[in-house]
Amino acid sequence: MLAQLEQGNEEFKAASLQMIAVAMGQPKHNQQFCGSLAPSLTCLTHETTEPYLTYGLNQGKLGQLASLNVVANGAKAAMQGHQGAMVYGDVRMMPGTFIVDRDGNIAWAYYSKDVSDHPSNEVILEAATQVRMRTNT
Amino acid sequence: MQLSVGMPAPDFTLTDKSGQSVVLSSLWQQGPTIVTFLRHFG
Repeated sequence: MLAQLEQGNEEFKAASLQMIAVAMGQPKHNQQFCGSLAPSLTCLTHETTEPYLTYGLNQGKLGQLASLNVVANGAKAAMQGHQGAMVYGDVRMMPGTFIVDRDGNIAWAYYSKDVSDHPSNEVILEAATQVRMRTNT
Repeated sequence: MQLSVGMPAPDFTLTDKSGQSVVLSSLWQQGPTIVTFLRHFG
């Protein structure tokens, strides 16, 4: 996922969007993984699940953690050369993506269907375009 | 509770690669920000 975001970061910047990747962990994990996989991204960590829970991201259920889709997406990522991840904290936490506007309000929210489900860069950019049209910013 | 469009985004103090504290609101005040929560780095 980090590699995907890194690949899209130039387009995000061109669209005047900041991309922030958040994970559970410590600065040493951030340096090790984000530093090598996504050097242009702003990666931030928290040692607890509190930010996830506050954004409405809960622990995944069994079907969201270990479904055929999760296995297939994991295999696809491995075939594309993505290596193992740094796992810290509660690996059951579900991912999610949000666009926050300058006033600090949620402009778009994507709650992943399972732990391997992430919006593509194109979907994020399209959402940002729609937000701009809606808010005329 | 899931967040809906228009709701205030919860603010948090997180930590960057060098161990410095970063307040999320200081980032989105600069412009629209995509905040993506990952299950892990990788």
